[in-house]
Amino acid sequence: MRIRTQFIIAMILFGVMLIIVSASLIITNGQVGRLSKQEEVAHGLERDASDLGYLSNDYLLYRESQQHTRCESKFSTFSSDLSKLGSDSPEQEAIVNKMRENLRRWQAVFEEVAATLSGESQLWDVSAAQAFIQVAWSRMAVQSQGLVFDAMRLTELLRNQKDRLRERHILLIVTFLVIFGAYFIANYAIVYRRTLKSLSDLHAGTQIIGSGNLDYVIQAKYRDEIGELSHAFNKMTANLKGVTASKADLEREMAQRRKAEEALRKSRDELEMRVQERTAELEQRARQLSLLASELTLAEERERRRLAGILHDNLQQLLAAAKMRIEVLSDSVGTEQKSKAENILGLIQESLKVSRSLTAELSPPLLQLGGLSAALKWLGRWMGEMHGLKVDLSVDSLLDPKREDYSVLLFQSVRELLFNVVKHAGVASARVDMRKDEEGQHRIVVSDHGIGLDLEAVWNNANTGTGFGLFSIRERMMLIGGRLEVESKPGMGASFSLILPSESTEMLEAKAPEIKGSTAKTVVGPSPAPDKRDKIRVMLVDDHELVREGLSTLIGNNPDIEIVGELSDGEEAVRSAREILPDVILMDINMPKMNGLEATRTIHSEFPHIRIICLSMYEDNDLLSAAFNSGASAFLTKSGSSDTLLSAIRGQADYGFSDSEQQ
Amino acid sequence: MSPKSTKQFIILPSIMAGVLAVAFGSLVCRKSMEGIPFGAIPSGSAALVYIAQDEGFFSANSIRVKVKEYPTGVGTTGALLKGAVDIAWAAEFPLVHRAFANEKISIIAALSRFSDQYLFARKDRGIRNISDLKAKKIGIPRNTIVEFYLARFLELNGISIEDVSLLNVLPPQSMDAITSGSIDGVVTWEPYSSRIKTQLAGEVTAWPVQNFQPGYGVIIARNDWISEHPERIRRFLKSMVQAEDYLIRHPEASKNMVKKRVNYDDAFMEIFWSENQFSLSLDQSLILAMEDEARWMIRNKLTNEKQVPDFLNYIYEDGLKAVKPESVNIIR
Repeated sequence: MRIRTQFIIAMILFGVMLIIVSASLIITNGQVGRLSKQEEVAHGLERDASDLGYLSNDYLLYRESQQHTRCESKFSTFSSDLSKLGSDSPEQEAIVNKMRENLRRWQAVFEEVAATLSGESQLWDVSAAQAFIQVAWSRMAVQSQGLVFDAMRLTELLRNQKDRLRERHILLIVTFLVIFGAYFIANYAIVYRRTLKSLSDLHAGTQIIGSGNLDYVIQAKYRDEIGELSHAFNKMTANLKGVTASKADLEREMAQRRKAEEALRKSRDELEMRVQERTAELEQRARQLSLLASELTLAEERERRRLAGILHDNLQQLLAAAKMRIEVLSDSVGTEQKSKAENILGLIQESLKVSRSLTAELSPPLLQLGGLSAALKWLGRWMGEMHGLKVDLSVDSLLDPKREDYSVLLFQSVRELLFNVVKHAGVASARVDMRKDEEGQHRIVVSDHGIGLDLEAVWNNANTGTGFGLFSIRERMMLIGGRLEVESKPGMGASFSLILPSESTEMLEAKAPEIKGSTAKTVVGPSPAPDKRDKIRVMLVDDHELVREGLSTLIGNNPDIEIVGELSDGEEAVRSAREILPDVILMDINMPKMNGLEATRTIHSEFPHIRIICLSMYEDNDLLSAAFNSGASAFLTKSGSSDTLLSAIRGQADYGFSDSEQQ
Repeated sequence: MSPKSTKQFIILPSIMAGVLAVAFGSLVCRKSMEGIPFGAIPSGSAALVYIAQDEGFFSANSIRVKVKEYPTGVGTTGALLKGAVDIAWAAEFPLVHRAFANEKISIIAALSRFSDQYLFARKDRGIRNISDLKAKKIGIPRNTIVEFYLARFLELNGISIEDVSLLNVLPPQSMDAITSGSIDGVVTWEPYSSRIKTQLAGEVTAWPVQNFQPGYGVIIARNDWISEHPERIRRFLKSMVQAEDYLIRHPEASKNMVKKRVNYDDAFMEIFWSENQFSLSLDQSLILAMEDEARWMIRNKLTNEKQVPDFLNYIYEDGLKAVKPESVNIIR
């Protein structure tokens, strides 16, 4: 039976019991009240019976009419009261009937006696009257005593009935209470056996299950709510078992995964180690490669410079020497030969021009002679002349790197960036700024307003080697500790910043001041007047012997000019100048040990009156400016005409001013 | 010993033990059922005794009552005094009579009140009125209450008992006596009175002779027996109480029981039932009645005693008080 059903039954029983007890109480109270009233009537009958006995005796003794009347009145009262008694029980009915019968007899005896007394008493003598009275009294006394006794019995009966009724009522209540208590006890026993025991079993079962024994099955003894709960527990346990099995599988799988992850982690660590090793190796190789690239760059530059040197030191010098010889020769031959000689000179001049251009392209001599800023200026002009790109320059020679390799690397990088502008930007102008930024870093910014770059694509392409050479530039910058920053958007132009490492930005403080302007005109300042001499004492300084011989031959044919010394480098020139004190020095710029500019600066500082004419294979205003800044009085190219050279010598010797606009 | 003999060895003693146990138990039961020989007249006045017997109230109270019938209360009291019975049913008058003889007996209880005694007089003997009874031969059971009632009846009607001739006619012979004409009239009680009423309806004149005074059907025992067997009396009276309760609650069934015992027909049974009251009691009216009867005996010189006996000495109250105290109301 379900606990709910038990509860409902208990409540119904309790309700029924309450109804029965209440009804019993109401009914019993009514019955008790009615019995109490009847008991009062019975008490009255007791008094009436006694009164009847008293009154009948009184009448017997005195035979007066009032006694007779009282007896009849009492008899009526008695009869009336007796008629009020019900017949609630057979006993009561029997007694009442008995009393009615006795009353009837008493009445009969009384009337008989009364009739006798009223009719014949006067005839009796005393003894007869006394006997009659005694008999009559006995007869009436028997009846009246019977009435009294029956009335008392009736009273007692009613009292007993009332008591029994109360007892029965109490018994009924007690019985119901006992029954209900018994039911509750039985119910409790059932509940204990069926519910509490089941709950206990369920609790024990849950503890067993809770301890981990998922094979334990809770026995459901009854088909009630606890039985359903037990089934639910068993089902849950079965599910839990399945889940636990799945969990075990999952844990195994997780363990395997952990192992796999551990193995993977080891592999990854190993891989990372290998990667690190490889990375380190690659970095090492990258460094090596960078070094190699750097070396390659330097080697390239060296090779460029070597080739340029070869061109300059050999071919151009030879050509220059040849030109000088032919010029000398043409002066000594006839017109026809002279014309041929001039044709040859034209070819030599053209060769020199081509050679110079090739030399400048291989390695601008200004980079070595004038520093990065001078080289960049040359590059700007060169890009305009060669590729039609207008380059706006904003450079400061004070910011030039000290290290030559840095200057070479930056120059090449700027040149490549400008080439990219020419090739990809779609514009005809660019800007190069060399400056010091807010962080104190020195940077060279190459910018344009062209079509811009897709940086991601550029760098991806850069990794594949097709990124405008940016990768190479970046690598080279990183190699020297600097970096390359690129800012660009499609259609918004591009800006490439070459940022030098701070320790590498030590500037060329001691470098000569920046050349102001790039004019070709040179003004030779006044110098102390030399002593008046017959010949102009000229000292030749050139590391190329053929050039010296050519110059010597060219100049030596002139009687007013005397070659007082021929030297092959700057240091010798300085020493010889101190000894010889020539009037004019023809100073080649490119020389070993000490170049012509340094030697010029030294000699000019010591002997300002010595006129120094710088000679070079290059036609460059910056170089010209550098020469003048070093103290040169004139600057001539070796490919120039001999007349120009001789005029310059004579002009310097005559202390005049020479407006040489050398090309 | 073979298995068969072993089995017999076990079974036979068991059977014997069982038989002995049953026999002993029967003896014990028989001994515990106390026997009471009860003397009664063949009348419905002892209805409670018959009901108690038929309903097993005696057995329930561990007594076994054997009813011995006698024609009159004089006979039952005589048997009582002789020890033939332990308890006798009688009207109160035999005890009054025995009290003058100083017999050691006592009324245990009154079982009923009866008013069933009639005087039948043959009309052919010229008896139409009570006054016609003078010098007539009237048969009565002598020394019974009938004699008292008849004397009182005659006295109240102006006739002395000495004016009539009394012949001893026991109730069972009353019909024959009056029919045969050996007497002019007869006083008898039920069921004989109803038979005469029925069979001699036109031939006799009937008068109730009890003068509205009920007779008491009492049960009497010897004092020595009472003192020896108070518990037995208590059980007997308890049986009577149960019978009274049964009679009150089952009047029809009670009538049927009594009818079968005394061979009454239905019509007579109703008459008898209305003329009798069946109720256990010991009340003052009984004392008054006996004293009245005793005075009558003295006055009529039916006894040599001049003093009315103290009938309180002839009442044993304790038995009835033990089982139905509310029924005892004796003034002492």
